[in-house]
Amino acid sequence: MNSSSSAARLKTDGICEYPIQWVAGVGLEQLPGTWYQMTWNRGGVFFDKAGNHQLGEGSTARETLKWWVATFAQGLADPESLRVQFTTSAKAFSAGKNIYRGPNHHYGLNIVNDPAQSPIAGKVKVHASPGDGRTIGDTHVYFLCSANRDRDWAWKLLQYLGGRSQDGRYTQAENLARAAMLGSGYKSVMTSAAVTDGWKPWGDPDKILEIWNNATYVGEICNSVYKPWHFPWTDRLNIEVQKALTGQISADQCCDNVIAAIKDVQRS
Amino acid sequence: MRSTRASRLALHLANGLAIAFFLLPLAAVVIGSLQSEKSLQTATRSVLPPEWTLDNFRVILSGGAQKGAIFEQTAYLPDNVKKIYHAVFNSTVIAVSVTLSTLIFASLSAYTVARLELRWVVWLMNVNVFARFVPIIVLMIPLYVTFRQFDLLNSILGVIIAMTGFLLPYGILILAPYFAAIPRELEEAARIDGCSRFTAFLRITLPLSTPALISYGAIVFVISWNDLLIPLILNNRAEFMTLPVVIASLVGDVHVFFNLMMAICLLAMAPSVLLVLLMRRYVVAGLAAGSVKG
Amino acid sequence: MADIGVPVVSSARKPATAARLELSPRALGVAMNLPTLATLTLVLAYPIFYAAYLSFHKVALAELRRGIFPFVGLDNYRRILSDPLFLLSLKNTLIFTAFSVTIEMVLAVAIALLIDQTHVWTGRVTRFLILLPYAVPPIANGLIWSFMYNFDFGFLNRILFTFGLIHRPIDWIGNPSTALFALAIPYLWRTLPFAILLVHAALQGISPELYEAADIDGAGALRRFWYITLPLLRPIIAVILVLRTSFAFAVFEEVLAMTQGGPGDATWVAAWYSYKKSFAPPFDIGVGAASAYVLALVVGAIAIAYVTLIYRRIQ
Repeated sequence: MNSSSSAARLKTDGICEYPIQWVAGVGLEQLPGTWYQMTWNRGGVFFDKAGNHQLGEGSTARETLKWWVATFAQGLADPESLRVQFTTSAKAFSAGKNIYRGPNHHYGLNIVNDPAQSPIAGKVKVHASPGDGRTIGDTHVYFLCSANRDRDWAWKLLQYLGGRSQDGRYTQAENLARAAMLGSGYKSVMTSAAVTDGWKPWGDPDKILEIWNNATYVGEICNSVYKPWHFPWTDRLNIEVQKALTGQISADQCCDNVIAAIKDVQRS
Repeated sequence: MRSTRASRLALHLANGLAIAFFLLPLAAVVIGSLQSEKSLQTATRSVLPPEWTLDNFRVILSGGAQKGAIFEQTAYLPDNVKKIYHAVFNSTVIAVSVTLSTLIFASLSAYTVARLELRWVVWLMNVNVFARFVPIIVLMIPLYVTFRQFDLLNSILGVIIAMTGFLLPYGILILAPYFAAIPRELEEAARIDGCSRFTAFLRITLPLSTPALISYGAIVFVISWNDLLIPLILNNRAEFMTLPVVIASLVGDVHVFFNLMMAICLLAMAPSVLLVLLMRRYVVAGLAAGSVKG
Repeated sequence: MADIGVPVVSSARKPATAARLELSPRALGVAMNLPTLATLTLVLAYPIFYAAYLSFHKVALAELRRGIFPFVGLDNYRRILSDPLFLLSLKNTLIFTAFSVTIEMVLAVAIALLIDQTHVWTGRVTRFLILLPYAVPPIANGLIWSFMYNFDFGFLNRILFTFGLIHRPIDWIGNPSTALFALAIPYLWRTLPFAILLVHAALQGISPELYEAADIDGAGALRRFWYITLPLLRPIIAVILVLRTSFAFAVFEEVLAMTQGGPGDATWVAAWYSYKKSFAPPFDIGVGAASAYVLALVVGAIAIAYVTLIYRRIQ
């Protein structure tokens, strides 16, 4: 991958101490999401369609982890990576001490490029991921639960969040796009001025939408998200991967532990 | 004690280090709360920020209404920040109630330990010595299940009951010896005049124990104001949060605002710090007397 | 319930008036202890037994909803004792406790001696500030130190840079080998006042004649400390060690605020383990209760040591 060698050069040239900042903080989407994305970008998945893990010897996920661990071992990755989540990594990046911010939600741009919040506003550009630009994405869905205490109010809230207002537009979705740079599941919102104009101060909307088109739903890469044991398994994954990234165990050991954890959490 | 110039200088130096040690976090929270995140990230090497701002406090104290210059563009402010006054109210109600209930219950029990020679009461005292060692987490798990069954979750009352129970043993342990040290003759004199034991307790023992009661009360107020685990586990709805719970929720929040967090921490610790510094003598007496919970 | 007649009185003087409407000592004892007994039973006694009960049953989200907890015997205990994370949590807790209590003890004695030197005015300032850490909410303390420890823009690194002591930022809590010790500092900062006060109170009890005698014999300050002060402080040091050890075993707020167990599993401590198992998915309260019970038993052993070795002696 190109960024690794250019990052190495940035470091030896003395331009910056830690060229790369990853999102490697403990979380459901944070650290795991970074690993999922990079694996998918290289053409690998975590589980095949039948649910068998794809973390064994020589697998793409394992090789990706090895590469990822190396960036820490070589001092290319900012140690703060292990403690940051999405927004905190954007804010840490705003200190201007890193060059690359690892695969991430696009909406960190509204922090790093906001003059009111960031000392390096206007200098940050978004890149597609290496190779064919494959990346992961997900859309959150609002739904009404049948055990709801107050269905009428819940339905009103649902309509407010996801419905059309009287002028026929998905107003709240557009508001969120404009204010918080959040995308929407509605195509009409994604092609509206809220995005194409509203996102200009923070990034290049066309580029972002192009990246978006190359995105695959994360459940296809890691279909354990559909299983109840995904949560406790992710807890274990976070721990093992952080141990690997800090050099306490090898990437191989980490993957083996994560594989063993699958059986462990399915027991309970 | 000899005091040469050199020894005095050495002592000044040592004191200077100690003072710096105690003030370090205070300096951090004050400076942190008076700057914006942008200035935090701009100058990462200097101790003092390039520019100061009161906006963090403005946002909090206006419940999110006045965003101020630094939060103008921010679309999302942690919800719990907007409910800060609820949290202050809850914290105050709980701390005051717990202080009152523990003072009342503990004095009643301490009197029986000090004056009524009953065997089971002595046994109660021994239980109290052990009770303080129980880690809260051991109690909170079953308490959660129990309160769930009794529908005491998500209530101020549940938190008050739990905190009272947890802080009572300590009170009995410091009040009982204090009561016992009051000369019996004073109470006996009252009883000769026709008072019942209980009335003597109210008219003689309690007024004479005011210092101990103030000590214990101050300590209980501070501990219940600062407590996290009990309200965290027993309540999960925003309207029942106390200040420490609001702070804890900022830790888990996806969007983190460091300087806002520092401002909230400063506001949360102001009452207890002021109380402790103003009532220093009483708190010191209480802590030293019980050799108890730190 | 009225008991008319001469009540039981322990003093030699009998009251002049014989009849008085009041409860007997026995009844009064019950009545006055009612609120305490009720509260302690509900909040202390019942939970301790209930926790044991829960640890022998399967209690997860589904069971909580249904209200039926199936009996599983020692299964929960077997699970945690074979869980390397739990064993690591116990080990981390031990290391954390040993480190923080030791440093705290040394600092407490040092600072208590320091403020005893009342002839320097800075000593009075120190004295004033001693209770400050006690008043800070533990969770706020954790967050403030988390802010101070931040790698990129933390307060500590800034100070060290300003004094020219470092040229590259120090990774205090992101480094797995230092994280646990970095956690111990704010913890002992917060709990130091208590130890200082106890030592200081004990120092006041040392008779000045002892020091004067040593002075006459020509003993320097260090010898005075080692041969007079320290031995006389031993009882209070023992008390503080036992108390602080049992409380340090239950550390929680700082872990929640600063590391949440990370990096990796470097700062998983016993109370954190129980909390995560019980109140984070999959909400396995049976396992959480079992692990909390193991912790409680360890602390209980220390408590018994305290009572038998020290408390009785002081009484």
